[in-house]
Amino acid sequence: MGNLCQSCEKNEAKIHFTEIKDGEKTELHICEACAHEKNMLLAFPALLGHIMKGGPDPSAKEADTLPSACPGCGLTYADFKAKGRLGCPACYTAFAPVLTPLLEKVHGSRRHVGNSPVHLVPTEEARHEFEELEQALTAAVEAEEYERAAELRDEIRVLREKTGQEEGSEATSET
Amino acid sequence: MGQSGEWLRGSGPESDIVISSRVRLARNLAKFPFLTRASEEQRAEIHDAIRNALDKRGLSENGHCYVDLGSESNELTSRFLLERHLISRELANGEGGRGVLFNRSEMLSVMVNEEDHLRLQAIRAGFQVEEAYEDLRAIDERLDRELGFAFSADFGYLTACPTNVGTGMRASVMFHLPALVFTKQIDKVFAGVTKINLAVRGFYGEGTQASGDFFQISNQITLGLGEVDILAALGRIVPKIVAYEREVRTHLLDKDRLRLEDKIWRALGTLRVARSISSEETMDLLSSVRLGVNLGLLSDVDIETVNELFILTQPAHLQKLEKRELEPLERDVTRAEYIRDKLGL
Repeated sequence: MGNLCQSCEKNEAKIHFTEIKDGEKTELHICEACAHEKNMLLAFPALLGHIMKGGPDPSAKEADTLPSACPGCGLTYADFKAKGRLGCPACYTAFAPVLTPLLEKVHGSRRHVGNSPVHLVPTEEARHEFEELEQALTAAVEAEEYERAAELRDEIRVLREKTGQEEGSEATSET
Repeated sequence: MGQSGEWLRGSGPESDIVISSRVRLARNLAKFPFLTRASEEQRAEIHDAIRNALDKRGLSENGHCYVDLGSESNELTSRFLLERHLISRELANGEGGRGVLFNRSEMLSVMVNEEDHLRLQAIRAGFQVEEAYEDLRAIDERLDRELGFAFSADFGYLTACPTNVGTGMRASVMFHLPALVFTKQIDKVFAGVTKINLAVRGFYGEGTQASGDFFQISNQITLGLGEVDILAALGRIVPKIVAYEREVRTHLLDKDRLRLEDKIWRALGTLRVARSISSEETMDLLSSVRLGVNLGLLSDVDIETVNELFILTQPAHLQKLEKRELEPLERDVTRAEYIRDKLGL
C-alpha cells in the first residue's frame, strides 16, 4: 500500500499534487474522497498553507542575526516553525529578519498600510505641538544652539512616547 | 431558540444568492503574551480584563449576552453557538478561560481568547461587507481605548498567526450557488477567485467542506492593503459571481427546465415525507428548495423558513430543541419531524 492520505490519514493517497513555486517543490498526497469532499483540487494553494504551518528555515546568515529566543516571551524560532504561531507582540521585532521575508511571501508586502488603533493616533493638538517642536529644533540646530536643541529633542521624545508615535520599527508594547 | 440570527432572515442586497457578509477583526492586548505563550493565570487575567472593558464600555447591556465557555457551558452549548456562526471551531474546541459576547440580533459578536485575545465579528444579511465593517469600528475603538491593542507601525495589528497581521481583518461573503454546482461551472469560479488571492471555504469556514451549495469567499491578504482596499477587492468580485449564477439559472430555466423542476420538486417532496434524514441530505435538499423558491417555482414555501432550517436542523440545535442529548439515529428522526412540521402541506 502506498502513502496514507495526508488529510484523513485513513485511505490510501491516490491523488498527488506537486507544486513548484519560486524553485521550491511542495508535494501533497490525498485520497479521492478527501479531494472531492473538500474541493481540494481547487483549494490546493490554500490547503498547502494549512499543512505547511510554520515559516521557512532561516539561512545561515539569517540564523546569525536571530536571537535564541524572543526576549518578550521566550519563544524560539523552532517553536514558531513547529506551531506556526508567535508568542507575543515582541516576537515580531525579535524574529523580523526571517519574519519579514515570510510576510512578503504570504501577503506580497512587508508593511502595514491600514488603520491605526485610536489609542496611538495623535490628536490634532499633539500633531500641531509636534510640528512646532520640530521646527524649533531645526532652527536651534541651524543657530548652533546645541543645548537648546538637546532640550527640544527630549521634549519631542516625551511627546512621542505620550502619543505612541514611533520613530523606528519597534513593536509597541505599552498602552 | 426556535429562531436564528437576524442576518439569516433572507433580506439584504442580492439575498437570493448572497446569504451574508461577515467581517472579523483580530486583536491582542499589548500588555500580554499571545495565548500560545500565556500561562493559565494570564489567560484568566486577559479574560477578566476584556470582560471588565466590555462592562465598562456598556457593551454587555441591552440584551447583550455573554457566554463563559470556560466554566458554565458544556460541549452542546459550544456546538450550538458554532452552528449559529457566533463562534469559531477554535473557540468551541478551546480550553481555559474564554467566552463570547453577542447582541440580541446576533449580528455582532466578540470572541474572547480564541486564537487571538479578541475576535470582533459582524454579520449582515446579503451583500453588505462595507456595512459589516462599519458595524465593528465603534466597538473596536472603544475596546482599544480601554485595553490598548498590540500594534507596530511596520506590521500593523499584531496577531498570533502571521497570516492575520496588518489589518487583522478577514472579510467574507457567503454565497448560495446551486446552479453553478448543478451545471459543474463552479470550478471556474474557484479558479478565478483563487487567482486574485481570495480564498474559498465551506459553510462553516476554514477546513469545512462545502455543503448545501454554500461557499464563503474571503480575503487572504491582511498586510500591505488597507481595510478599504480589502473590502473593495472583495466587493468587486461579488457582483460578478452573482451575475454568473443568475445567468446559469436563466439558462437552466430556458434549456433544462424539466430536469431542474424535477430536482426541486423531488427535494421538497422528500423533505415533506421523510421519517428519518441526515444533516447532509437535509442541506442538499434544502439547497434545491431554496433555489426553487428564489426562481418562483415553489410558491407555498417562504424563504425565511428555508434559510432558518439550514441552521435549526443542525445536531446541537435539535438537541437544544428537545432539551436532551440525542443519539445520531434519534436526531435523524427528530430532524425529519421538525422539517415536516415546518414545511408540511
